[in-house]
Amino acid sequence: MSSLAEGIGDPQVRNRGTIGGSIANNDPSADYPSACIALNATIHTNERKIEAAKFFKGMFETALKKGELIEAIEFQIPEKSSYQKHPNPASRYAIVGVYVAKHKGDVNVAVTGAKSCVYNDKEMSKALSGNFSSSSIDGMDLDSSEMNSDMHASADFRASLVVTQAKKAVDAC
Amino acid sequence: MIKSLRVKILINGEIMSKISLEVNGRKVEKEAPDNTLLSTFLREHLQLTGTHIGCDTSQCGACVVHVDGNSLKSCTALAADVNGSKVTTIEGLETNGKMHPMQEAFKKLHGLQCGFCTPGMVMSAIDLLQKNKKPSDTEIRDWLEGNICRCTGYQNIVAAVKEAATKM
Repeated sequence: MSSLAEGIGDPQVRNRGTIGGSIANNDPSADYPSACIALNATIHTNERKIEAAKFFKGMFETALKKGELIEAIEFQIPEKSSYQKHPNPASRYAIVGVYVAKHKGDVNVAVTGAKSCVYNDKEMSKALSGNFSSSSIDGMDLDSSEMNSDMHASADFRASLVVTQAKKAVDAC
Repeated sequence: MIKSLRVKILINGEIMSKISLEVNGRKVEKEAPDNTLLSTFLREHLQLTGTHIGCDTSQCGACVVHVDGNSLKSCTALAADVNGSKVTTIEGLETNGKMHPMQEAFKKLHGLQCGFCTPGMVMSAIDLLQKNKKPSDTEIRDWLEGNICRCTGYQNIVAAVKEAATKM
C-alpha cells in the first residue's frame, strides 16, 4: 500500500491528498479504492461501518449519505499483495490499475480505471484462488463490453491491460 | 490538528468562514464561503493573481503554492482547510525588488515561453531544492511530473533548476 501511495499523482498532490478524500470522491481511476476492495476494508464513518464491497456504488458515487464523514479505514492484512498500474503518460492516473491480494482462503483482484467504478474481478479471483500463479490467468479473455473507451485506451486495450497488470501483480507478490 | 478556531457566519444563506492566513509574511483575514478553493481565495479574495489556474483538477500544476513549507496544488485545498497556515505564493519570492535565484535561473536559461505554467514550476522547483539540495536530472523531472508545460519541452526548465541549485 505504501508503494501505491507513492505512485499517486505527483509530489504536490501527495503533499495534500488524503485516503479518505480519495475514496469519498471515488474517481473511476483513483488508486486507493482498489486497495479498499483488495484488502476487504471497512470504512468507519461518523454514523456506521461500511464494507468496501458495499461502499463504491458507481462513477463518483459512494454509499455515503449527506453529512456522513469518513473517520477511519480498517484493512485486512493479506498474506501477500501487490498493486500494479499502467499510468497515463501525461498525468499519471491509472489507465488501468490492479491490486491483487492473497488472503487465507481466497484472492481478491481489485481493478481500477477499467470500468466506471472499481470492482473485484471474480473470474481472475477464482482462477488465482485455485492456483496463485500468473500462468493461471495468462491470456484470459475478459469481457470488455462494460469497459471505458477513450482517446487514451480502447475498451479492448483496457481488458488486455487488466490481465497484464494482474499478472505483474501476482509475479511481484 | 485544529490550528485555530473557525468562525461560522451565515450570509445570504451561504455558510461563510473567517479565514486567517499568513500570506507572503503578511497576516490576512477574510470571510469566504466554505467551498472556496485556496486557489480562488488567493486570486479573487486577495488579488494575488500570480497563482494561475490551468485545469482546476490538480493535473497541470500552475496553481502550486507553499503551505507551511510544502508545495501543493492550491486547487486541491479548501481555503478553510488551511486556516491558520503560512502560505507563500510566487509574489512572495522577491526580496527588495530582487528576484529569487530560481526566478533568475528561469529567466537566464529561458525556462519559460508563454509563462503560464511558470509560477507553479518555480514554486515546485523551490520545494524540491528545500528537500534535495543537489537533485539529478531524473530527480528534477520526477519531482516536476505534476507541472505541465506546453511550450518549452522541459529541457530549459531542468537546466534552470540545476543552475538555481548552485545559487541557493
